[in-house]
Amino acid sequence: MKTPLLKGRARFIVELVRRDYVERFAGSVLGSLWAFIWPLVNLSIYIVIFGKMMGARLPGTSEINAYGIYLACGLIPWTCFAATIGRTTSVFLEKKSVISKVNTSLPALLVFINLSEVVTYLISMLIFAIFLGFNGFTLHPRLLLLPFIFYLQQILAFTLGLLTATLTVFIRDVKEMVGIILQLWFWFTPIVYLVDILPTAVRHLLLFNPVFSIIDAYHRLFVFAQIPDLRKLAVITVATHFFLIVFYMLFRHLEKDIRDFL
Amino acid sequence: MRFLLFSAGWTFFFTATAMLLWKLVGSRRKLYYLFFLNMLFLAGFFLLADRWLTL
Repeated sequence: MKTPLLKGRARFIVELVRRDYVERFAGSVLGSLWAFIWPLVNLSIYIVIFGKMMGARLPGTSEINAYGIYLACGLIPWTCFAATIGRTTSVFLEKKSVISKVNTSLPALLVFINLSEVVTYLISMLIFAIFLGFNGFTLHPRLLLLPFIFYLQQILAFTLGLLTATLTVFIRDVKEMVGIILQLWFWFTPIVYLVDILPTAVRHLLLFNPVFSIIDAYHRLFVFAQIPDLRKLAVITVATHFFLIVFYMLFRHLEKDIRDFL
Repeated sequence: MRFLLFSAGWTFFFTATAMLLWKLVGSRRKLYYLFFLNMLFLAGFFLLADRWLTL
């Protein structure tokens, strides 16, 4: 008997991701080409506007594109992280017609949003890699750390999304609060500025910002040609999984109520 | 090269363990075991890579 490549839940998730992309660009002439045009435009803005026109430079380097690269390798992962949390927060409400009609696995909906954002991230990183290639960036074995750092980033987004998605069903204000928190979080993370400009007291507070360590890892890999602080990433891994288990237990406890509320 | 082998080997070992766990453990608790295994995989990777890369 022939076994299907993807069974049940996995096939459902892949189908949702595919449909998400089809719906996003439905009716447009260029179709899925827009998925490449958007990151290309964003990257051009980082490099041309900030690097060349505004003349922004990284301290200690004369490289004209260095600030643009610094900005891009902070903004690409942050966009993926924030979009994952932002979209998962309201996924149960948005998909309530599906949830009420079919006996859908609720965590599968969170996984689908995560994977959908992963595809967008991969397209952006591909364009970024092509730009780096033209800019004379050389490949180094330490870049093998990148998939693991990205994996941690998305597990963190999944963990927080699991909590916010659960809470949003009962308290609709959570959706708006998440938007504001993400905005504040963005400015509390050195993405558009360097960590050195912060006062010492604020720099100590950054130790409690897990996204800082993740974005810092990207900066070290692509801009400063250094190995990231892997011990810090290991600590974040343990903490993230601890909260993942706690939030999942909370979700399991409330799952029946979530279905009733929708 | 050795880091490539290390990361590939580490990923393969844990993917195989996770798949085995998925097959063997009863459905009620298997996600919790999987979360725990995932934590060991990532945290272990970062700690070993930290040692490996600074050697």
